[in-house]
Amino acid sequence: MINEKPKNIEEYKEWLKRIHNITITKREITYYESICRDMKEFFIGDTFWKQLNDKLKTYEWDYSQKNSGYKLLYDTEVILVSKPFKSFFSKTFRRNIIENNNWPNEPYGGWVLPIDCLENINDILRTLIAVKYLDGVKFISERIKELCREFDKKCEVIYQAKEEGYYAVHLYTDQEFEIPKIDWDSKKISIKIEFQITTQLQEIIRKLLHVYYEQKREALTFKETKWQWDYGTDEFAANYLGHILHYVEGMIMEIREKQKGR
Amino acid sequence: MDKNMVKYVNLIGVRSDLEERINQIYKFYAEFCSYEIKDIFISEYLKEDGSREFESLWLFSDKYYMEAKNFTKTEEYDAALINNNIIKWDIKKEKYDFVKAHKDSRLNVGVITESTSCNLKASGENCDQLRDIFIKYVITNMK
Repeated sequence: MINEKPKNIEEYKEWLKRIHNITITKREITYYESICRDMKEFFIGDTFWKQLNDKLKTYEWDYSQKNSGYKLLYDTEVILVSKPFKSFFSKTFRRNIIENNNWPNEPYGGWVLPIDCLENINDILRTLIAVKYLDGVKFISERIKELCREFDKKCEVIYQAKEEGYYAVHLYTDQEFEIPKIDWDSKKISIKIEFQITTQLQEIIRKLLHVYYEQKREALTFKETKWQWDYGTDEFAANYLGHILHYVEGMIMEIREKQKGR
Repeated sequence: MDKNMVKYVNLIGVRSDLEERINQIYKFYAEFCSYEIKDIFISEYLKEDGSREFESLWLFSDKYYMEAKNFTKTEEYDAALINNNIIKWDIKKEKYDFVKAHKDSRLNVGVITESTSCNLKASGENCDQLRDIFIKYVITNMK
């Protein structure tokens, strides 16, 4: 059936070819990777990134001063990473197919067709800042927001709290890049750089469950029972662990606040 | 590098410091690896301000083709067999008749061998060099 929803990545590749005349070969993958490498190099060399790395130590000191010596950061060095091609491609699958409530028509905002859709993916370049305590998430995101203002950069802050137990702040700033087109010449694009800010404990859990989340996000299956009732599954354990951790981290903050009040 | 290679890099506006870098890469392949390099090609594209952005340096011998990837910034070298090893090529071109390139000409050549693939880009007068590479090394090495 021409309008049948692709159920997996292989069917998605066929759909891209049949409907949009798009074939992903080694050439497109190499092109994507080289662009990511160039954009990453450019951004790391930019004053904004250098300033951020320099200022993290100042933020650490400020926080510690205001909070009886408690530490802010897990690590005062942040690393910028680019989205691997596989994850990028998988994200277009989710946007065009899995999360497309307008199927078989294009999703709201239009098709996100690889490979010429970098501007539509908000985490091609991203970094993670892990803080030790829950209040550090807001503290650091406010500081980065301030830094964006100093550099006259757009800044969007989203407090993520998902039903699946994911808690983090995602901060986005725009950056313009001049990139080569796949055949010749160049073009200017503006992409979002993602700063994920979360606690060290949430990050540990996220790492442990990363593979599980990847598999889940690419699945086009609908369960009859909600995960909240499926107590024997990994999903049940993983998601509630996220919620419990968030609660515990809130409790730790409350105890700290009380100590401060004494 | 021989006279023709020097003439070529000057024709496409390579700065003297980069020319020296190209010469070092040439020496690496020619002297250290003992490959008889007959031609070179620089894959590049034009930026919006009209300046050339050089991507990869390609070197060709009868048997191998070599790449110095992102050669203006990094030192990443490789080599692969080209001799009767090409299984597919494709060309995209714009304002280029395969005779004489002018400033608006564009040429893109994609090549797939048994084990590798590459993509060569040229703008303006560099299209003539890419055309010559295509005729000399791509067509003749089809399996």
